[in-house]
Amino acid sequence: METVRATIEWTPEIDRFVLWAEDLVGSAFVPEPIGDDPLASLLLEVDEDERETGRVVGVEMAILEFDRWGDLPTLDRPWQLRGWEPLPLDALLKRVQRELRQRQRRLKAAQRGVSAPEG
Amino acid sequence: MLYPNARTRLGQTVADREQASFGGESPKERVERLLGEGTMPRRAVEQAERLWRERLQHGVEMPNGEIVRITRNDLYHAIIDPRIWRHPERIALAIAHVFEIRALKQGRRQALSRWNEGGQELLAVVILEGGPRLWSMHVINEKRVRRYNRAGGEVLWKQSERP
Repeated sequence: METVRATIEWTPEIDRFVLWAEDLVGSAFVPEPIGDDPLASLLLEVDEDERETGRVVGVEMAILEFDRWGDLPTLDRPWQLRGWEPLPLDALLKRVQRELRQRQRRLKAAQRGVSAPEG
Repeated sequence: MLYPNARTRLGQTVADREQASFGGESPKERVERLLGEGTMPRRAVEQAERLWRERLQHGVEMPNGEIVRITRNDLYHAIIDPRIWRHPERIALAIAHVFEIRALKQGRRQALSRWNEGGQELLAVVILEGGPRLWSMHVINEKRVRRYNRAGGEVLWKQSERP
């Protein structure tokens, strides 16, 4: 099955995360809140007449606090970050969330002067 | 026990290592990459940067009197939609024409906006981070205004109806 080639944009100080479908750069889009949460949206492609095309341009969310996994729709195609295996959208986002939360914890520990383990 | 400046250096080192291993980009890094790949028009980005320097970096006032702060990274995040990169002034217009603000989680807020461009009505949803700082801004349609009305929390401010 064809995968969605994905990249990540993240602004850590305000927890603004976007998983972008790189092949749809340049497409206009509208946000569709995930489970009525305006802080998490699927970004749906629209054509020149503002009609939805059915393709997903990205997912924008405050990822560190996101927990409404049951509301995330199942998409047909797996998503793939460079160097990772293709994953269903929810599995990929959960893995990224885990890594980002760990990263934040390590950064806070480092700022407190506690050395993070090497390796 | 580490000296304070050693802590700073350690923090930066850890941050750099984490960023590299994770592969994520800041909005600025992403736009620079897309410009390099030719998938975003340089002229449009330069126009948006000029608007930011001249106007947006000083903040934009909402009708309730609050000034919304917009960092350069916030600009790069907003202009990914071509409807914004072709008209970056829409960032300021959306903020200046907010008509309702609702509460969200973690001190964030959702603002809905409506304005007129050459006889065409445009709608936008603006998400604000505490400060307030621009978290995101999207052009939407009436259907989505209704969706956001259902989704948002308590109404914090609403523009009075004109007689």
